[in-house]
Amino acid sequence: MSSLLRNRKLLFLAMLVCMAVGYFWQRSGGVQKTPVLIHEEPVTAEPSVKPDIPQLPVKLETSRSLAEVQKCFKEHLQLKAASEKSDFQLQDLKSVKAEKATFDKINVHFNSQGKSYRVMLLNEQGGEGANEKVNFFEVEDDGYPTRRDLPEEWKNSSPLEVLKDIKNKNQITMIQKNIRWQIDPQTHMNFVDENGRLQELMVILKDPKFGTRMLGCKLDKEKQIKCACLESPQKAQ
Amino acid sequence: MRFAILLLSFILPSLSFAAVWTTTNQWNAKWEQKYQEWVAKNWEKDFYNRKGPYFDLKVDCADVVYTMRYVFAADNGLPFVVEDPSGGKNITNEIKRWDGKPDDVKRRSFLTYLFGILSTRSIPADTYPVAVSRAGISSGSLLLADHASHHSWTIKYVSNTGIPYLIYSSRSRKIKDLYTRYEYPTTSFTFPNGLKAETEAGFRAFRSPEYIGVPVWEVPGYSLDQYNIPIKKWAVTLQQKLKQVDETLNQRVARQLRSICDGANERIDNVNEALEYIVKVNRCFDATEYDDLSTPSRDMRLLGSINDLRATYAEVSNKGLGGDVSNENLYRMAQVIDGDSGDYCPLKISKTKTMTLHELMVAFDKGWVSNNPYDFLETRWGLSNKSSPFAKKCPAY
Repeated sequence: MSSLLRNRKLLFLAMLVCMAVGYFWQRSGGVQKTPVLIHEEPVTAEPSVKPDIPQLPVKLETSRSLAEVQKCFKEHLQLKAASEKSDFQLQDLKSVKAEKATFDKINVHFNSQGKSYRVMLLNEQGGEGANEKVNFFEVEDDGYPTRRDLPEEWKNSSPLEVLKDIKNKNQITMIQKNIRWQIDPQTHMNFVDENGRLQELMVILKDPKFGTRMLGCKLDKEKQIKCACLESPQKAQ
Repeated sequence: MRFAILLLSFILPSLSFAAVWTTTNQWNAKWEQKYQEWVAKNWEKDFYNRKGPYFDLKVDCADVVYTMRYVFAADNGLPFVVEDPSGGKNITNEIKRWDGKPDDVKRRSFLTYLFGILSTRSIPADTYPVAVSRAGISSGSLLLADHASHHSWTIKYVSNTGIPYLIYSSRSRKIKDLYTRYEYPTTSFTFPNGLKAETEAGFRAFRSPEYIGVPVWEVPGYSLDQYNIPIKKWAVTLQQKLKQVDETLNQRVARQLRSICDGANERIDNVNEALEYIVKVNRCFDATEYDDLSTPSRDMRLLGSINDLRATYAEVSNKGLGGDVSNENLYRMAQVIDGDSGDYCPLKISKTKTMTLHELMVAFDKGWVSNNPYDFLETRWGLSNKSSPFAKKCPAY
């Protein structure tokens, strides 16, 4: 009898172990197919029509400074007249920043009375939709934000007034700024961090002779600037 | 007792420790194809009016865009990953916030949560600009307007004549049916700052999870060729590139008539909502309320549709192409443009007032159609140009 009971206990334990293993196996994704990159095989109703995708980056490189970014730009694109114009604009970035920089989006993370909050300040005007200019979130225990109603004292404040208020009253843990320079209609956006350091830069040149060319740079996880130069195969007429 | 423990050990894994849904598949070319087919077949304007976990949700335009991808991912055990626009870690279906809730409740709760976090401003981080081809611009992709217009549309399909069928919402609210358009939106609304890649406006597709957070130009399929199109020929060029067969003149007229009728009828809801709201609150609006209840973008789009029909009408008249258009569509076109009598698409703007599309066109031409949410009904529809007391004293944003 006791042997039978022991066997039943063992059987019960074995079942629990099996269920636990099964549960964690399921959570890990179960039977998964090898991930395949999206659009590796173009998804199309017409197999003969292939997407017109710019050539892959001709070269990827890591650089640290604006000067090196410009070097990448010049080396890879090898433009002459057009590049001189853009090069001048790039060299002139800092002065442009002082005069014409406007923020696109600012994320502020801060602590107040033992809780963590995030504020997303957007710079935009008009239109339809549901984008408020100041978005207020509380960070919950799981680390994800939850939208909260805007505190009463901010309801009639501009984004920059809200930022100033946060700076004065709270412990700021992080500021992420996206600042946009309007340099030239054909030149792209530039993002810097709070120290004025380049975060992301994209430059597009529409050259009548060489077609559309683009340089893109972004800080990677190691805070290195990674640049890619792209060239559209579609030449301007 | 043991039986109870055994039973609990079966139930608990599915309730207490589960993500919103279990990821059992991964995005790849096959699943992208299935996603496109699903959107073409199942993505309908009554989506939020169907029984199920998403019934009667309050949605804005970006919510609809994200829902399209979310529902397919949830139904097929695919990962749903978006960048946290507030600067935190990526938000995924692995979130445990609703552990212990039934699956339907979890799905609805997570989607509602996402609605509070995501917007048209977050769409660029979760999508990439696509090539101008039927592979790039297809069922399940989307059109994003410039930040200044902050609007977005889902694409149910692109017709064989190269016209997109768009399903979308406007500002956040519960609606019985989503809005639909079978045309290209106006460039003045979609690209008010020009057709430029840096605005991030244009046709885009969702990134697969491994490409969330990487520079957009590294996403497979990324293309800027849509920005090489001359803005004045944007719609015509896209249609030329996407069409499989030519759109007949009669099809074009029918499409343009339908766009005006749909656009004007949708405006009835917007105008009446503002009128009811001002009666309810009896005060000036704050900037958000004003933005929600005014209709400058919608009016611009509607006028654009009217002008498109006007151009077609002129083409038919000048080139003597009346024989290529059905009698029914000729009569309808004449009703809208010339004010001929007929019963095409009457606009019941209130319980007691009805106006014709021709009257609306004339009102637009006079510059009397008002997008100001404080204005009287007649002023909103351009039947009068008298401003209301609220419109005179309250700020416009």
